[in-house]
Amino acid sequence: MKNRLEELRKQRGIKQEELAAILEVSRQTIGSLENGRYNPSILLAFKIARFFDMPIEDIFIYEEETEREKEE
Amino acid sequence: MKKKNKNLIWYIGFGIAFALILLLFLTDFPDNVDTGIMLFTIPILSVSYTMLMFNKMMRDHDFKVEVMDERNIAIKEKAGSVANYATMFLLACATALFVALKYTLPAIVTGVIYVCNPLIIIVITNKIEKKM
Repeated sequence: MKNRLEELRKQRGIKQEELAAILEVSRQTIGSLENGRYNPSILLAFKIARFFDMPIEDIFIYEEETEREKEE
Repeated sequence: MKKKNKNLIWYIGFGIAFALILLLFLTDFPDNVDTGIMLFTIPILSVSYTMLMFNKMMRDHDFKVEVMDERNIAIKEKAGSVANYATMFLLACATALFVALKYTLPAIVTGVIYVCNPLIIIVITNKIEKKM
């Protein structure tokens, strides 16, 4: 799953550490989310969406084909 | 409503451990009974101490965030699962070694633990399934 987290964070001029503190997760989690190595839980996704005041689907982009390729 | 003290059980653990240590010093049981009491006391004492310290450290916000971080939890769960396979493999090796050396009792003990593991997994899975 792709996401626009890094882009949105940079747009707002926030550091990874600051975003991590706001979302109450570790900085490493933010890094992993931005790199696409880790997909957040629905709770964290909602927290992120609320923070950026955007719908979840505008931040996290679900691509069925990519997911299927990963599974294969 | 009165707030439940989550550390109470660990303080009780401490109490039990100290009572057992006193028992060791004040009584004159045979050596193997003393060893048994010691083997029973050490985990109670260490778990109680660790949990008390852990709960104390959880008052620190940064530590709490680090512990409750969902990615860290997922990593711990995955690592635990892989470690379980590794432990089972080592246990199987130990059982095979005991059988080869004709150490019947240790072979039975490790063999029973080996067989019990999937049963424990099934029981825990069923319990978790009901909660989720």
